[in-house]
Amino acid sequence: MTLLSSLRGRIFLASALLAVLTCGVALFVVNRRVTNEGERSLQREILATGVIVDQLRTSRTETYTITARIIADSPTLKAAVTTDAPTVQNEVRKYGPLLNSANLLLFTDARGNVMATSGDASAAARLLAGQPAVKNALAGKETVSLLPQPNGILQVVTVPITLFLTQPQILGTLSAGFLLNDTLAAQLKEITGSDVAFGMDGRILATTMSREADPVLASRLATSGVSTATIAGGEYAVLPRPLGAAASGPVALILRSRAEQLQSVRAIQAGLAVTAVVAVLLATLLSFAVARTITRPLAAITDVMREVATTGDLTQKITLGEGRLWRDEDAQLLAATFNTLTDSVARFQREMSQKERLLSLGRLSTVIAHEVRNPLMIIKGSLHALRQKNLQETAMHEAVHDINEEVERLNRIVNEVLDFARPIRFDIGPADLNALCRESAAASQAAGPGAPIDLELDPAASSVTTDAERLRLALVNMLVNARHAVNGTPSGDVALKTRARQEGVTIIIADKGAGIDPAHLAHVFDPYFTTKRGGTGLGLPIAKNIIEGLGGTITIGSTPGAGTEIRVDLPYNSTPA
Amino acid sequence: MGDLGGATPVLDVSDRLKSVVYLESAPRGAFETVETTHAVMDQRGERFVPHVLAITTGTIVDFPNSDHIYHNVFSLSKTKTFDLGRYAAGRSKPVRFDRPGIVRVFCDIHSHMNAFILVFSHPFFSLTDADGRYRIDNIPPGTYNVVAWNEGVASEPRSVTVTESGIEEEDFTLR
Repeated sequence: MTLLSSLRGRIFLASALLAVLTCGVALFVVNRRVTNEGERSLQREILATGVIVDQLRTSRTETYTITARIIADSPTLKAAVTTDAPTVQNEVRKYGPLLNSANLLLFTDARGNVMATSGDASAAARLLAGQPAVKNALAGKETVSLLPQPNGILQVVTVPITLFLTQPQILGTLSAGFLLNDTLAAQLKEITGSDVAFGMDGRILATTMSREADPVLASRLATSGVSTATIAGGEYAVLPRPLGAAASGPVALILRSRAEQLQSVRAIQAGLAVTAVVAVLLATLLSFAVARTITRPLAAITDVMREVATTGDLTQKITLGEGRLWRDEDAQLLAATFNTLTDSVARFQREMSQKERLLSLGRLSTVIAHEVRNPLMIIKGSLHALRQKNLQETAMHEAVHDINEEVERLNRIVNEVLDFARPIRFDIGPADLNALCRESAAASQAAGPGAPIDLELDPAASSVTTDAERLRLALVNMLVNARHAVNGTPSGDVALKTRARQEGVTIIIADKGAGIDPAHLAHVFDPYFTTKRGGTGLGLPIAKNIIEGLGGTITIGSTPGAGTEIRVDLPYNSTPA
Repeated sequence: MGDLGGATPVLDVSDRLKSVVYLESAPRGAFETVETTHAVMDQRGERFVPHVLAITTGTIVDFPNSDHIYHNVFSLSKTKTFDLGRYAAGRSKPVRFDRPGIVRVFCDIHSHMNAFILVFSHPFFSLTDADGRYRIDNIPPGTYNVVAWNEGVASEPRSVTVTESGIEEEDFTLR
């Protein structure tokens, strides 16, 4: 899933998948085409072979017929046939060379008696003499007959030996035959490239296949059309072609091995597979490269962003080089937009701090206007009283006291302002938090009359390492504020709680006073923000500075009319920031 | 072959209508006259003319070639085996037949040409005319076996008794 979660991963995956899918589909389609074409070509080849075998047999039959006619028309043969068997036998020697591939020559006289035979199949010849072919020939008809032999099928042409041109007188018959045997089958195989077998009456008589295949082949003699047979583990397409007119007669079986076709198909498939693998690999590499070119600028932009995030340095810019990295328009746009964004943010920041400064200055002016001018007015009034001629001693003391008090107050204000402006230097050491709280409560109560402070201290939260002085100052500031808040409310009391947690301590200062207006709540930590007469607006900002300086956090929650709660979280061991 | 036209088939067929009727066994004394005679078997229009020739033993048959093409005369018959070879127009070759029997004559150039020569040891034989009629004269009285022959096919011999002055009639049907 990590692959899918990045843009680079998705682009890469999509491109690679697309390549694989395309290759797969192409492979499937081509493979199907090739397989179908292979099957069709096998069918074509086997049918063509069938036609060739037929033509070859027909042409050989024709050759035999013509040669037989020529021999039958030989005057010496005619002369011989009208004599006796030895004369004919003597004559036959001359015809051997005419039909040198003849497996059989048979001569009969006009009554069908055997006069002479020649060839390997002499025994068959005597058998033939009783066949209808000879009777047909004696009736003047040429006949082609097929006779089963132990070593093949004998195809015989029988022609009459005639005298005269019209109303021919029949002197005898001549039969010439050739065997459709293993040799002929082998010749046919050489010409056509297909295996050939001849069979009849459910028996295979000649074949180019091994003899073990005979039972399978014999079962195909009576079928029609191309069928598939498994012979010695090899698959063959088999086409039976009847040799004679009779459906149950002799049959030539044309066999074509599917192995060759399968081999060529496999070779093509292997080629395709290699091509597909190479294509997929190339596509994968290419998609990877494309994915990288898209995401490399993104990585560069990300680097700069990370840098900006950690350093806060908004002047960092993405440099748009001339290199290949930035050729991508989208990446360029993104980088340029980022640069514009950081510029804008920097500008806004400058403007904001300017505003902030002006606002603080404004608030300071108000503080000085109120808080400095009032004591000054009192001092001025007291000095005026001192200048009276008949000044009573008590009045003088009162005026001096007033002046002193106001000077101290001014001094305090100046110190607070200075304190806030100066960076705080912490003095960290072991301290007792609960004791600190008790001291702070006492100090804030001593500052003036008001609500009591309820302490609810967790003993486990006692031992901390912190700057005790600063923390007390912060607590006093917050407690004073809380006591001010409950002034004049009936249920006014302030609670100070400590609680130990796993990772630090929590201090909660809660009052049930007037609460803070939501509009003011956001600004309570802003310096010089105050709603009280006589306040400098620095109490809470100073407290916040101290708490954050000690590595803690401060949050405030308030409901107008219900009260306010400040929560301070501190680590057990503070380290100066 | 082109020269033959339509005439040959007709002649072909009519040639074969001629038959020979003869006495199977001749009376004693009939063999005495041994004089050399000549007969002619012409070769004309790619045919042997006549198609059937009946002769007595000792007859010399001349085979003239009256065509303007070469011919050959040969026989494989046991009675007389001969081969006159091929010879041109206008020439003639003789063959003497000394043994009685049937000789079938062929031309080895023209496979349709053939003829029969019937050789008898006595003079009691006769060729039929176109209508199949025959007549054998001067037969000494006695009982004889008579045979009719046509195109290599002979009839069963029939016993006929010849008287001094009578005329016997015997009809044969062959094929």
